[in-house]
Amino acid sequence: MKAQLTDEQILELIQLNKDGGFRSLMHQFQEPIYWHIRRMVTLHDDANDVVQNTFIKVFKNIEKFNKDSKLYTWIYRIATNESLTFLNRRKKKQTETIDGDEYSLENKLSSDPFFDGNAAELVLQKAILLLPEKQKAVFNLRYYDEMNYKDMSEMLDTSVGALKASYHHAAKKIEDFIKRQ
Amino acid sequence: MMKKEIQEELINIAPTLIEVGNKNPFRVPSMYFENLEVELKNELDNILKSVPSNYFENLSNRVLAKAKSEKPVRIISLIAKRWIAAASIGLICIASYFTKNTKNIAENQSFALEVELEEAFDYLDALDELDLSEVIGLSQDEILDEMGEDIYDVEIDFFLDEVTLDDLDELL
Repeated sequence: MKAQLTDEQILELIQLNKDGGFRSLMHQFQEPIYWHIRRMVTLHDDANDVVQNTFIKVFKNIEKFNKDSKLYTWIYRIATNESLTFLNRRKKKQTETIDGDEYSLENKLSSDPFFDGNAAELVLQKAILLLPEKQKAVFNLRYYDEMNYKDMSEMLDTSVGALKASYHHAAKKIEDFIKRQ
Repeated sequence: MMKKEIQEELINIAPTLIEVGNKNPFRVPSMYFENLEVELKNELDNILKSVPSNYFENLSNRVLAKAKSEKPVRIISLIAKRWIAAASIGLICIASYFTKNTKNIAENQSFALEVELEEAFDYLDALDELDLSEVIGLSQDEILDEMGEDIYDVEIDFFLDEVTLDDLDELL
């Protein structure tokens, strides 16, 4: 079990030595941030690129971090924005292909060596692929990360009510998809 | 094991999701997280390190050569389009402000304003052919970095969609 540092401790370490402090920050957040991004973009190689862009942005902007919010919601917010930007770019690139993004990703997912899920989990991932991007982020944060709505609201700059509605719609869509399989 | 509150939320709308469970179905290559820190540190070092040797010695030659070469076909970036759109709205507001408040100005002043606006729109048309990143010599990511984290597409869209000419008129 990793020893968890508080936001204040991490920021103090960064003030004393930016490189060393940043390593502590990464050590603390790299895994949850990677998994959040991975669930958004699906494939490991894509997730790796987005993770790197996210932490580069964190490194460059850490001095601008507003201490009124939690460090992890701030980093999650950057990660979500980076993931959405990546997904939009990927969608634009693939709109001209006949199969479309979701279909080809669905195929890649089935043969992905880094996908360990069983048949039911595969169907669930395929259903998640069909959600609109922001709804996907809300669903993943609640279902997999079990994040509370207050933190999610701060992170996505969306009201708790809207997030609950979005999660409700996403869960229903996924349930319907699974039942049709 | 799924948290009780997550289960309670799903029980009536998506019970199958409780059965499937929220265990992470993905995995990463071995030693991925152990190497990520080092990989990222190297990446940051590359980004932050100084310009390549002889960069400035050759810069003027490269710029001149590029300027003299045939003009390539360029596609305007989305960011540039939005800023140009925003700038155009600003210009229109300024024009409407002047038009509204200068009913009594002499004809030649009005003509001068028209010429200035025409020149400004010509300039915007010319700019339209360029990628903003090339104009200011930064990549789009760098432009966003320079602008700071607060400026996102969504916000630009918001200003373009929600800020009316009257709002701008009030500010002038």
